[in-house]
Amino acid sequence: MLLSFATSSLRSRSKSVVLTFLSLLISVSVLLSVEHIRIQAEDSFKRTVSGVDLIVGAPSGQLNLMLYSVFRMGSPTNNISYDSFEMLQNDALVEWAIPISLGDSHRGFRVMGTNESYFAHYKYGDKQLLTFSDGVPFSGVFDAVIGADVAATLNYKVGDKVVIAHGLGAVSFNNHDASPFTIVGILAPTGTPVDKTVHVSLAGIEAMHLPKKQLTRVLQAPDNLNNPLVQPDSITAVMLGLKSKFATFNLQRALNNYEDDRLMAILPGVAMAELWQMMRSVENVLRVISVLVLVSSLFGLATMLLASMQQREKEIAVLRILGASGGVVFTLILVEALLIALAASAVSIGALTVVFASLKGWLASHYGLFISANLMNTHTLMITGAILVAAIVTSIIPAVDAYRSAIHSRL
Amino acid sequence: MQPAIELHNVEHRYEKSHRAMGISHWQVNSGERIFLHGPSGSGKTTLLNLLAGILEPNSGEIKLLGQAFSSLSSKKRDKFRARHIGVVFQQFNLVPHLSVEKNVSLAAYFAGKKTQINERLDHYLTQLQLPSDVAHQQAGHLSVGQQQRVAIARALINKPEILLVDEPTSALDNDARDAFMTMLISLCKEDNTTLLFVSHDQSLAQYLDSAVSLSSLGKYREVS
Repeated sequence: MLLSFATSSLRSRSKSVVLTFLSLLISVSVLLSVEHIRIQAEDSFKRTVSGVDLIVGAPSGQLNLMLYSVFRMGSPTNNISYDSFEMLQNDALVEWAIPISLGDSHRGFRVMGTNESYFAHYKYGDKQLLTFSDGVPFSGVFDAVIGADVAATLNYKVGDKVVIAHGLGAVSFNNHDASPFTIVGILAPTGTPVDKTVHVSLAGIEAMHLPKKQLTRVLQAPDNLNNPLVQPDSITAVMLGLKSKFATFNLQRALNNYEDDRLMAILPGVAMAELWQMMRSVENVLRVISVLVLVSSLFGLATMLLASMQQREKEIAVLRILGASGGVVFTLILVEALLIALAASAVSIGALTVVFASLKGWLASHYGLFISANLMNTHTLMITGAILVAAIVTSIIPAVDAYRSAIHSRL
Repeated sequence: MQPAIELHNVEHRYEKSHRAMGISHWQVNSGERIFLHGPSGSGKTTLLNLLAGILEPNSGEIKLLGQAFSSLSSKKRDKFRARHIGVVFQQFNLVPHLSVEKNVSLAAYFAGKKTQINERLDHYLTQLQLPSDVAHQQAGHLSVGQQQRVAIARALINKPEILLVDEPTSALDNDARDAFMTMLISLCKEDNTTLLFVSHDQSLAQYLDSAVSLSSLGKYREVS
């Protein structure tokens, strides 16, 4: 009966109620979307690399190693010897090893030297392997496989030639013009830095840095990846997949104490968490802004209810005469606030689900954000619960006003 | 016979007012239908509000149906009012956005009498000569005459022992007023309801058992 009365009363004041509802809808949507994107972005960030147990590089710092090896950001401080890579590849604990060689670029996109293991073992997201939207993995010294963003931005297709530049700048005056690469494959979008990478073989990296005379000899047999002239001496880092996860810490310790080369092994999960921790302040600023928006809307709700009290003094007095206690009137006002907040939250969740479902593909391809359209999770429910509690708390003032209103002067 | 209404040394003064209304003793027997009259500002509505528990006396005792009504806690007084007292106001005071059915059901809901509401509502609508489809109409859309009759149905839905009626005929022409009084008295007789009918229109006294002038009951005194 109380619910039916509250609904009817709200309907009778539809204009002010609709405006308050819209104000709450916007603020709840801002809060829920910021929180949802934050969680999904963190999840998406942590899904950049998957299934890699250790990343090994030259000693610098785990964030630095993570940034250049996984996110292709920053510059490697030093290299490790190719012998160390072979040692790791042949270690009994290691199932697979992916070499990474960085230092060159193509029109602002990083060039990464690697081998066939990369396409066989590198995983992202929920342990998804890389797939090709066109072409095949590289098999020759001057073959290149490009990420989806590179292809889309530079309008490249299989068969096109690319010239790699020395260094990491977007504009370079030191191009390896004598050793152009042919695009043999284009990777499907992953929403990770892979999309912005030009992949070539380790032999290709070595070849383009050879003196002209030796390069000419390599160009005469471009399919021979085993040509002694293009065997690398050093690489930037190695990604390792182990046969048993239990061996991770032992191997990490062993590599950090390795005497034949200066190595540092890091756990990607730990480094990722540390990296994300650095973004917490931005997260908190966003969260504070959305909470402030919500608080202002809740005060709007309380103001609307307070303003309506004057129109409703008679109605409330009638209820009291009919036997409604002060507590019932108090509860009625809270129920009305709760109904508006509940409706705003429900519509907000529905609308955001539709919006995220529609923008899912665009966010993934343009920003590398894999945002799920499913907002019905514990976190959303907790936020909604907090919003409803906040709505009740801010409505206590008008509810007390209604509770205290004298009956005799209103009838 | 037990009195339905008893007042002993009741005094009431509004906040910031320098006049206090006092009634030394008055009682109304159960089933009696009293016409209470007096000029404007004589305290008729104040007395009704005291009897309905809307106002509390500053001193003295009000007993309703043998119960010390003025000593009850606010919550118990609300409950008592819902179960035993019906009130019809001069302005009818229906909730305009609710249907007639909901307006009447509210009174039953707060009294905790939730069964056979529809049957009783149909009965009163028939007795008050209102078409049955009125039950589903919004109270705010009814004519003044219809609102007045719905207000009576709402006041009687819980079969209260005491019915307090405050100037309900002021907006009616003579024919409508006479028809209304006949219906009201008939319904009160049906349930042996004690009726306290307040009006400044003394011609209405003919419909009731006895007439009492407020000036004969209460005295005003100046207070500092």
